Formats: sequence, structure tokens, C-alpha cells
Amino acid sequence: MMRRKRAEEREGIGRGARRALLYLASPVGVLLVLFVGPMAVLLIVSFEYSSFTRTGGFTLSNYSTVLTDASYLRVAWTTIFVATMSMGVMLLAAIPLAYFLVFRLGKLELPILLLLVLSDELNPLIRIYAWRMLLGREGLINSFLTSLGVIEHPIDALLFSKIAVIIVLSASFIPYATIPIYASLKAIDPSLLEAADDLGSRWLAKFRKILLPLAAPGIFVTVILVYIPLFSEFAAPALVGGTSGYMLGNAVQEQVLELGDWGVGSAMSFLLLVLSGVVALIGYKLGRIRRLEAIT
Amino acid sequence: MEGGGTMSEGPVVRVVEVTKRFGDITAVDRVTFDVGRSEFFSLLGPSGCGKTTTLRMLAGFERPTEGSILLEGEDAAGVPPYRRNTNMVFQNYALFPHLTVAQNIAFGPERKRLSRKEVQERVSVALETIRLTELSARYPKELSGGQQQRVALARALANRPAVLLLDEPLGALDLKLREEMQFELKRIQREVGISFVYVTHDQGEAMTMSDRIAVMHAGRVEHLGTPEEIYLQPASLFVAGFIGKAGLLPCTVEDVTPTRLTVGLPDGGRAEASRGPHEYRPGLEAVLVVRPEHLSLSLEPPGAGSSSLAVRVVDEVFLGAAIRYLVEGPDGVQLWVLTAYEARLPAGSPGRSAWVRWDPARAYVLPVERGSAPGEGEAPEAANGRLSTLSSGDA
Repeated sequence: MMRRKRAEEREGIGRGARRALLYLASPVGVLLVLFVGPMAVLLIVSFEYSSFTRTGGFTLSNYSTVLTDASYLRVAWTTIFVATMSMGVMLLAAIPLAYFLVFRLGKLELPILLLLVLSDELNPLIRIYAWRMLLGREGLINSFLTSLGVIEHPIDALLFSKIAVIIVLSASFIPYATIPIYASLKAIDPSLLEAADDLGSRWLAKFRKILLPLAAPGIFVTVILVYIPLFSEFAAPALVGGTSGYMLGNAVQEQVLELGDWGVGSAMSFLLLVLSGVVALIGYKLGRIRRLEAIT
Repeated sequence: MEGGGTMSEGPVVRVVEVTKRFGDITAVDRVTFDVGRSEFFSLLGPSGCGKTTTLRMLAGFERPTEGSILLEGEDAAGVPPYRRNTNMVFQNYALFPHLTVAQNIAFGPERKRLSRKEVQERVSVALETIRLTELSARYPKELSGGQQQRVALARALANRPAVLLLDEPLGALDLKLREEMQFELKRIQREVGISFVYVTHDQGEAMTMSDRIAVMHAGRVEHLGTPEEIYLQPASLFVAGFIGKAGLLPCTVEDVTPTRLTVGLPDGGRAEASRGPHEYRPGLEAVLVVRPEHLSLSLEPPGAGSSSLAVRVVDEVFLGAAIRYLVEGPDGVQLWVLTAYEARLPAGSPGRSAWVRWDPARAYVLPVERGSAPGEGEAPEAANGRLSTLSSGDA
């Protein structure tokens, strides 16, 4: 009796799983064809062909080229530096922005949220060119500061520099950084903040002990969502980075599109992918330490 | 402000002529009361009566539009919540979900920068008070509603406030647990000796626990007194209708003596009643307030000269230890009568004529203030209907 029942259960589960697989088959198929397929091709290319060594078979030379060339290492450091700084700037801006949206703005909450989302709809190229007009030698910021007499000569470092890339990237990813944090703050019962007030906390204690731990899941999502794409960014560094803001994304683009060296370009892409994976893993571990499960 | 139990004489809380307006709406209207040391003080009223706003002004979450609040003799105007020697138990408990029970309770003492040892001590004392020591490592979501409620109480008490503010703390619990917690709250209050200001819409809760009650209605305090005073001599029709199922008979004062009043009843009969704390003169429009348990019902006409009224029995409800009758007098006035099981009417009495009688010492004459809405609190059914719609919670 028991055995039969169990067998039936097993069969039931089997049937359910089969049906689930059936439902999932088409999206998984689409992903395999459109996403994993090209990546597999690139993976093969990265181990196979190099325009410099002219070998046809299996080779690690593409990877060794990327990992040993000092100029690539410098570019890698620039990439990590710019991505990390932009991430930091974004968190510094996104956390207060999300806080004000949720707890302080009242009726303005939805309009400003909408503006934030709309700002991302602007063509990225147009946005970057707008920043060039703001940051350039003759740009609005420099001419404004000069006319005020704050500075004597325009600041050249504003454009075609790491700073320029950090500013532009931070500004363009801000909606992606803000919305996950906004969502996690939105889930906080406002009476928790009143309770913290009531029990004697000033704003710093309230922020550190209540808001930050409760927003941790959102911050984790933000880091995953923003930090990883930053590593492969190429449009902003190409347009406002100059030579010092040159990032790995630009190197890949140059290898593939300008030099036609698919092997090195693919190898670089895969190294970037591994790096992103490591970042995601670290973020995931940190997120779990923050007791994600205890909150939700 | 720390540990201010013995710092000053006089009331712990003084609320003087406090008004709070939100735009055009007057939520609290010239409210005045004191809360004494170790007193259990309740703000009782239907939702929207201003009781929660009053409590939030004590906590510092809202600022009075007019009037002043004194905490331990000091003006609290401009003192932010985190610097007030008050602590609040929130309606939804507001426990920090990412902290354990012990960490939740330690939150307040830690903010006061007490030594680690002192914090530990306060946490264990608070846990003992609420009898939940064994659950100190749990997270709030792992606790039942009643346990969460007690942790919220412990967290507020661990700060050793001069006044504990409670905003409908039992509202979310089921009836049985609520009754248990009433005794528990009263025990804890006696044990810690801290003044409690307790907001509720549940008159039973307020009556059970309070030393004094302020009954609020439309932003004003309608009656401030002990549960007994409020029950036996309600200051207004609203209070009479809100507290229990008072029988309210329209009447006219006919004769006034230093001890007794004679009133004319709607059926033309006359009755005697005791004096309340009001001015009386012949011709005064009033209502006779009699509690259901002070009325007796019989099918025989009473003897001449006794205080009685001819009625028709409308309905009977078996309550176990007692029977409740709904009777209708002249002009459709309805009264509840609570009768011991032994003194019940013969079966089949609904629909029959009967007489209600009362002891004049138990009947109280409340003058009808001019301009009060006609019919307000008149019939028990009307009052009941209002109570049931009002008891659905105060935001």
C-alpha cells in the first residue's frame, strides 16, 4: 500500500517534471541558439586561431598574449579602477536617492521615479555627447567656473580622462543602481524607522543599523546588475576617455573590429567573463552573510 | 532625563490645551490631561477620534499646532523623539526583522551608550519580565503574534522610559490571547512601576486595565475619569453609548431635591433617580441612564410609585450565565435588560407586554446638551451598530 502510494507519487513528480521541461524547452532552446551558441564559437576561436601565430590547431597563445602583455595589464587595472570608482559613486548617489524617493518625497515619488527610468531611454550616444559638451575645455562647467573666477584656466582633466569616464558611467547607470535599492527600501515598514528614532537613534545609527542591513539585498542586486556590465563598457571610454580612460572593452573592440584578431579579442572577452563571475560570486557570498534569508 | 523615576514631583505627563490640525482637519481639539506616576492611563475612542495622534505627539512624531506638552515637568516642544524619555509599543510591533529578539531589546540601551555589561543586564531583565528568555536568539518572524507583541514591549521597557506609550498593542491578537495579554500588561505595569499611556478603541480593554480613562470623540476628551465613574455616570451621550450597552431613556426633570431627582418618562409616568455631577433644574431635558444589569423585567405590573416603564419584549439572547432581553418602550425607545438565568421570563415571552423596573440609586440623569444630535446614543441598537463599525481599528 505504502509502496504503491510512493510509486504513484514518484510518477506524479516525474510527470510534473516532464511537463515543466516541455514548457521550458522553447526558451531554453532560444537561449542555446542565440546566446550560448555564439559564445561557444568564440570560446573555440579563443583557443584556436591567432592572426599573429598563424597556427590552426589548439593553442593557449591568445591567452598568454593577453596575460603577459604589460599594456593589457595596465588597461585591466584602468578597467577595474574605473568600474570600481563608478560603482562607488553610484552607490553613494543611489542609496540617498532611493531613501528620499521612498521616505521623503511623498507625492513627488512617482514622477521622479518615472524621470529616472526615462533618463535611461535616451540614446546612450546622445547622452555621452551631451556630457562632452558639459565637460569640455569650452564646456558649460569650465566656462561657468571661469566666469565666476573660481578657476583661471579651464580644467582639462574633466574630459578625455578616467574622471570623465567615471562621471559619464555613473550618470548613465544610475537608474539601474537606484531601482533595486528603491525596491528593497520600499519593502521596509516606515514604522521601523520611527521605532529606531523612538529608541534613541540619530540618523547615522538609523542608517547603519536599520536601513543599510535591510537594503542589503537591493544593494547586492545593484552590484550584480551594474558592476559587471561596467567591466565590458566601451562606448563611454571611447568617446570621453581619451588615452588614459582606455578600458578592456575598447581593447576587445580594437582587436576584433580594427585589427581583425578574433583570437586575442575572444580570449580577452572570456577573461572578462571569468572576472565578472568572480565579482558575482563575491557579491553573492557577501549578500548571504548579510542574512538575506532572515529578512525575506 | 535618564531613569527619571524619582527626579521630580507631580505628573509625568502634562498635556495642556493641545490642538493638532492637519490642513483643514482638526484631529485633536484642545485636549488637556495629566498622567501621574505609575498610572495606567488610557485614551479610549473610536477610530479617527484623535487618540493615536495624541499619543504620537507625546512620542514626538507629531508636533502640536497649539498648546504644550510637558514631560517630567519640562516642555517637550522641539525635543526630537530620540531625546525624549518616552518609548512606544507600536501597533504592528515594528520589530527589526534582521535582528534577533535579544538584539532588538538591546537596540535602545546600546543607543544610550551603556556599557556592554549593562546592556546585557537590561536585556536579560526585560526578557525575564516578558518570560521569553529561552527565545532570545530567535528572529521576529520565527515568533508568534503574541510573542512578537511581548518582545515589542520588552524592547520599549529596556530603555527604562518615564512613560511607556502603547498604540493599540493588542489589536492584532485574537480574542483569547488579547484577554491573557491584558492581565499580563497590567502585571508588568505594576512590576516596573512605569506610567503607561494606552491607546485603544476597545472599551473592555480600557476598563480592565486602566486607573483612569480619557474617552475621546471627534478630537476632544469627552470624559476623563476612573472606569467606574465613566461606566456609572458618563459625562455625555456619546460616552454613555460608547461604554457598554447603557439604556438611555429620554426624560424631563420635574423635581429637584438635594439627594434625589424626579423625572417624567415618555409614557407619562414618573420615576426617581440619583443626582450626577451636573446642574439640575425643573424642566431640563435629560436622559435617564440605566445599565442593563440594573434593570429587572417582569410580566406583572409593578406596584404604584416604583420606577418602572411599560415595554414590549422584542428579543431574547441566551448568554449562558445570563439572559439578555431587548425590550421596546414608548416612542420606539429600545433597552437592553440583563437577567440572571434564574430570573428569566417564561418561554415564549418575545412579543408580550412586560415592565422594566430599576433601583433609583442605580439610575443617573444626564442633561442633554443643547445642539447635540437627536437620537445620538439613544437606542442600544444604534449604539451597537456604531460600535461594531468603529471597532474595526484605528489607523
